[in-house]
Amino acid sequence: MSGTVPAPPGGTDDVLAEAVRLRGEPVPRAADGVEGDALPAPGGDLPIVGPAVRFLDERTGLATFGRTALQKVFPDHWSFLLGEVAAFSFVVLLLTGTFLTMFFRPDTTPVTYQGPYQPLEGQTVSSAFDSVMQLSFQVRAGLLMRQIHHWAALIFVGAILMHLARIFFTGAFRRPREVNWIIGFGLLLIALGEGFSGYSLPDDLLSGTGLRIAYSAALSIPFIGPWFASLFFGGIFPSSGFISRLFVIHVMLLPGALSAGIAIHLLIVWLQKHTQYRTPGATERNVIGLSLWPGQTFRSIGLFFLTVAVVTLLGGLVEINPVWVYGPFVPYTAASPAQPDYYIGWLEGLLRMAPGWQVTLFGVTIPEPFVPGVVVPGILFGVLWAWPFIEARITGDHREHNLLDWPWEAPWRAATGVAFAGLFAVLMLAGANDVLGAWLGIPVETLTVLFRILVFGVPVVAWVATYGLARGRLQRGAGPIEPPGGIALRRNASGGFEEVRETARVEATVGEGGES
Amino acid sequence: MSRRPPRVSGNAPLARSVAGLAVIAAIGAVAVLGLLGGRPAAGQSVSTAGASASTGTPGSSASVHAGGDLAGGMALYLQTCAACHGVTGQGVPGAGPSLQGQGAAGTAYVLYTGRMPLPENGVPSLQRQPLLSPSQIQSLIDYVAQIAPGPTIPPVDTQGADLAVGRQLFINNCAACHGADAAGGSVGGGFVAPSLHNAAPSTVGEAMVTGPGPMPVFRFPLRQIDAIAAYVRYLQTAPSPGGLSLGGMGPVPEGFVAGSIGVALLLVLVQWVARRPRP
Repeated sequence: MSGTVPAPPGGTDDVLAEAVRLRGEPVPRAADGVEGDALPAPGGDLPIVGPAVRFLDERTGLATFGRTALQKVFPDHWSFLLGEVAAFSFVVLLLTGTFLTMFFRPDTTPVTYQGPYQPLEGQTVSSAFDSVMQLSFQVRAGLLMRQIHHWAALIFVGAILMHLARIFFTGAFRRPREVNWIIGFGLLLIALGEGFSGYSLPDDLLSGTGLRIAYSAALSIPFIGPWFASLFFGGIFPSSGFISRLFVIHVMLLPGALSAGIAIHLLIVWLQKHTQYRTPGATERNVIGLSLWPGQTFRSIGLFFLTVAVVTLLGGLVEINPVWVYGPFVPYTAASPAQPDYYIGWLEGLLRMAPGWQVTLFGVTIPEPFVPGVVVPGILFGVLWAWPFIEARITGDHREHNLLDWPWEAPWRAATGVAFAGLFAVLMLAGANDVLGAWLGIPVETLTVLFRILVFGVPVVAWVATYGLARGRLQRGAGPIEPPGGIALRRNASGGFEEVRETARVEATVGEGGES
Repeated sequence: MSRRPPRVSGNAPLARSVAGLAVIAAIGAVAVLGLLGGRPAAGQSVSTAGASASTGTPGSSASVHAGGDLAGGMALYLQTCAACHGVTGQGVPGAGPSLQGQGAAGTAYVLYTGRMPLPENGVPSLQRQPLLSPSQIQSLIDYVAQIAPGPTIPPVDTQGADLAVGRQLFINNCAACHGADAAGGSVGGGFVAPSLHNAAPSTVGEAMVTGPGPMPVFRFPLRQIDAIAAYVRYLQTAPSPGGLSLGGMGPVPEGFVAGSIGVALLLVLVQWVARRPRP
């Protein structure tokens, strides 16, 4: 991948045509036994590796696929790496989670705590809480693993949100990628469920409080609420069997769904090939960037280690979820401040700011938490989930798009995205109203009124402001796009200087995205 | 009492405790003996007074002070407090509330934590550096206990108190407002339950028996007050095993750190990784 490949005459489309033509021809396989053929088996001269690869290739034709795969092109822009950060956080979660699973007991049987933590000495706690205490204070590196796991979870969701924002603001979800938006958004929902179930597992006071809120929201669904809540929680809260259910959900069902979902997500990216920004040479029909080997591979390996480093540093240096301070869950008590992890905070905010209206329609009582706890989140997420179709319906643009918009190129979409972000930010802050009130010295009631205004005001202001800014940017014109390599000066034969567009790196990596 | 947290400077803790306990002792051998059922009267030493009183409930009996600088206390009261609380502690409408029922404990609470006297009119009563010297505070306590009888100062002694009992009592009675980590929090109506991270054990006891502001009065046996104060003390001094503590405020600062440090750092690193060397 050095920048030495000369530009093919006629630009990038010829490369594409050649690639397409190549694909149609019968491909000589290494099994034909022609040494030095167009497709030699990789690792041919190496001891052990060479024969092994040849063995596999002769039976599976792996070399052909491998060559294609290794040449798959990844767009060369940092924003395409955000999803990788999420994926690498997930790897950390799987590894640390496996460690934690070996020591955690999903069991609410009361036991007497006998460990080094003095204020709980001799107290009756659930077996689950006891095992978390052992993990924290007695298992070697247990607390480190717990904290890395928790920080990685926060960063996992954060990286998903950054990735989602990139997809949204650049219009990457447009046809033909609506399906992957739906899968990706589903992955976000699973990640939220995974986060909440993990937060609830230790059976400490905070997690029990959170579960009670979830139980109450489930109860509030008209008609089916009590049955649904009872079915899901295995009886009336706090049921003794729920921790084991939660455990299965947290360590088996949701991680399995996440793993499968991520696999399908990536497979679809592979099949549909990446989108790319409008840089010189980029067309709707090619992908410019780094090939998988060696460029992207080392970039990704580097990013993997950096992600691991960040979550490990946080896990080792900054305390998170000190369950010993909260103590075991006791149904009749609650401590403050009681917030969920930030990615559930907006739900908490909805419940906190909603007025306590309970209506009875035709003899059916709609409990207060139903609207803020079920209906509004359903609408907000429903709109975002269906966004590719909503936008296509509104704009009437049903064409395929492989080239991305810059955020300001679709002012309407950018404004809507920022409005949504503002709405969720207000809701999240409203979920922290007591903490903010104590910090700022403002009465909670005043803050709640303020948030009730802001929850409508901020999205409107954000929409108008973003729309105006984006329109302004658009009307000023993008100007000549500076090529990625910048301008180079070349000395010509007569001794003068001339400007040349630095296009070497574009030419070097032109190619079609990987083939299936 | 062992080490006091660095809450306030300038008040000698031991002198204060001795004085406080002396008040308890001076409530009268009759009252103490009556409560304890014939035990020997509490002596003047700290440990004896604390131990004997710890079996009883701190009452709200009128403090009958024997000795001390009552005249000095009165002068100080008239000079410092009477403008708002009235010459007899009856309160002044629009200026300050009645002191009825405050007693020694309530007075000690507001004076030692600097909540009173206010540095200037109209500012909220918050924890501050005490304006008065320990001896001035002591004479005011004695005087106010005379004109506004109320709870005596519970002789809190955290030595040997049961931490586990204290933790349980704290979680059930205190944590809903002051937080599981005693870091404080909003309680509605514009009130903030203060952080207890700088509260002395005696302050915890005084607050419990007087219920300042919106806080209810907790008439617990002294042994339980000791246990709660000991647990608060434990929270103040316990190391945070997980590393840097985020202030005991739960998931809100955790989410803030995850976003502003974790995700922000990764956003920078992602751009660094995607950097390409210029030819």
